Amino acid sequence: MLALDVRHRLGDFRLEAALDVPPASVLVLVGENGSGKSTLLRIVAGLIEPDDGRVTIGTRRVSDRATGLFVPARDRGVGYVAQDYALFPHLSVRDNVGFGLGPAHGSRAARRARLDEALTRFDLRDLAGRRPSQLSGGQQQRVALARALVLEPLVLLLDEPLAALDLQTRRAVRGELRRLLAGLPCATLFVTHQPTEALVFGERIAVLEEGRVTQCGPRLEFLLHPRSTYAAEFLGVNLLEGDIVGPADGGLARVQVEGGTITVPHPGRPGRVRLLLHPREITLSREAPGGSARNVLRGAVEELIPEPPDGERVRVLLSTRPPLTAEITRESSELLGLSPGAAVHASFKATGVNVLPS
Amino acid sequence: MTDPHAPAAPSRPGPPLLPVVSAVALGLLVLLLGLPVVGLLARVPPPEILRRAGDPGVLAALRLSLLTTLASTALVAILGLPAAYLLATREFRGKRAVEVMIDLPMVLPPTVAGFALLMAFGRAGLAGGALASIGVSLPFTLPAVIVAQTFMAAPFFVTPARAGIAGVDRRLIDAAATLRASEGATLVRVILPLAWPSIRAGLALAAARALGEFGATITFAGNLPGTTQTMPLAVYVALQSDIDRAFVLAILLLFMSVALLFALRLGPAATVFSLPHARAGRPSPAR
Repeated sequence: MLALDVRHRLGDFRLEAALDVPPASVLVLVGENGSGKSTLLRIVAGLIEPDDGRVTIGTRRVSDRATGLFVPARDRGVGYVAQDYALFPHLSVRDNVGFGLGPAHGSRAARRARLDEALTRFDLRDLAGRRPSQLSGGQQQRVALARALVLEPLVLLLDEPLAALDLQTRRAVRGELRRLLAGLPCATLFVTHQPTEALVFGERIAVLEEGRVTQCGPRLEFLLHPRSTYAAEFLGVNLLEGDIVGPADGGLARVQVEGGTITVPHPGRPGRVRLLLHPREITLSREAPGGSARNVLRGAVEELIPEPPDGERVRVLLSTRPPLTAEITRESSELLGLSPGAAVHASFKATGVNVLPS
Repeated sequence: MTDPHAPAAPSRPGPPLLPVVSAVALGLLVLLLGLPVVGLLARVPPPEILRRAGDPGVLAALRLSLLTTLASTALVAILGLPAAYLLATREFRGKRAVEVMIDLPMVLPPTVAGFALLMAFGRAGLAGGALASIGVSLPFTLPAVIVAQTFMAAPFFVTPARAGIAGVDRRLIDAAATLRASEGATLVRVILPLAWPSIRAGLALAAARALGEFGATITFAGNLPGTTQTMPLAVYVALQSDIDRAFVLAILLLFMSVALLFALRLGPAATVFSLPHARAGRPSPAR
């Protein structure tokens, strides 16, 4: 378990956050670059002492400004995977993974067995003799994870673990990492600025904006009630911005957005508007739909993301103009035979769009 | 002819003056530095060198130089490495003053340094009385040679070693800390291996400086054959009495110095005098 309630200043920047992560769960902390995510991770890891507040790992208080307690990083039992993995360039994969194993982890033979087990688990056996510079990005990530997890930490901190990977590797690694995290006994705090990652990894999601947690709760709560447009953007609710270019019949308006035109309920006044479209409002079909939906966009499937991970529904990223995210049942997805690259029609009613002043 | 309607012509590139001047300057410099070496090597044929190298006087100076250089380089490393680590990783009161003190021998005329050492450790010096009370008299002894060399060579080690240590990627040090490594373990297992090219370069520079030390040695330790007369001193003395011996000694010194230069240059590039921008400590770009 991880619990923290800290305040910290860096120049003009103020970080003020309270979070808790139960064991065997993943909390994704999302926020833009500069929102204080990495600083928060470093505070938990014991690499920064916060100006004020408390951090508890398991049942043990590790940092408490009130009593002057500050347990340094090496005594915290925290696994920390830095953004670019920070592998030791002068050590082999084997020595990297075994770096933290010491006399505290049993006899030499016990340590060796544990190290071998970790190398096997992370599919690193054949790479054991290589240096980090001879590894691909995905392999480097596995080494970093193995190096942290072989010590069986109570808390695992992941700082943008996919950011250093190219797009193709990222897709391949994402599923792997999700399955790994789902099976871990530790409390995992996962930091990202990527909306799709938040959706894929977060059982619970916290949004950090300018050093403050603006929303924290289960994924579903975010999907239904994003508390800020920023959160909406993160959570894959389609958020479009455009100008009303003219009225349409039935009290509707046409809005010019980037890449196309969308018909929406008329807000009653002209000008710039923001459109919120929930992914579940979008219907997908392979043939042109014959229904009453006012908006029909053609495009191709970019990516399919189970929602929740391994769940009943599927998020479909579409290369329509504008690009949209739809959410349908897994069953429909299979019926439609959706796969990346498949051509589809995305349709939605004008009344399914929420129009907000910009 | 230029077109009268054309806008003011941009200043035409003149003849390539700068490259030419630079090339001439470089040529002169190489000549100035290289000619003496060639002159030295051309004078004495190799068999003659080998024959005279067995000369007892030459051997005594050679033995003394090797012994003192080894001792002073070791002393520089033992005292200099912790100093370099502290300077690279900590801020403390009086750090600037310490930095100036360490750099000072690099700019101090060696004879002045020797004189200053006498004023500190000589019989009438600041610490001379204390040393005398425990029965130690430093000046004009073999240990004095080592002290003089250490004094002159230390900054040549500390500066690059410090730059190398400071250049180790901070994220690797953080990673070691989250992997339960103590500060000492991080130093031994992460920092020193990664800073090694710079540390090795510093050792080579310090050894070369100690080997060639003349002014501070002759002022503080004297010029006693077999006790304090190192090779550079022996070259100087031989120049006035036995020119062939001077050549032999000079050529031996030249080879030893060149060997140190190779130790400095070989292997991975070292950070010697500047703080690096990026270090080998980064993992390669992810693919």
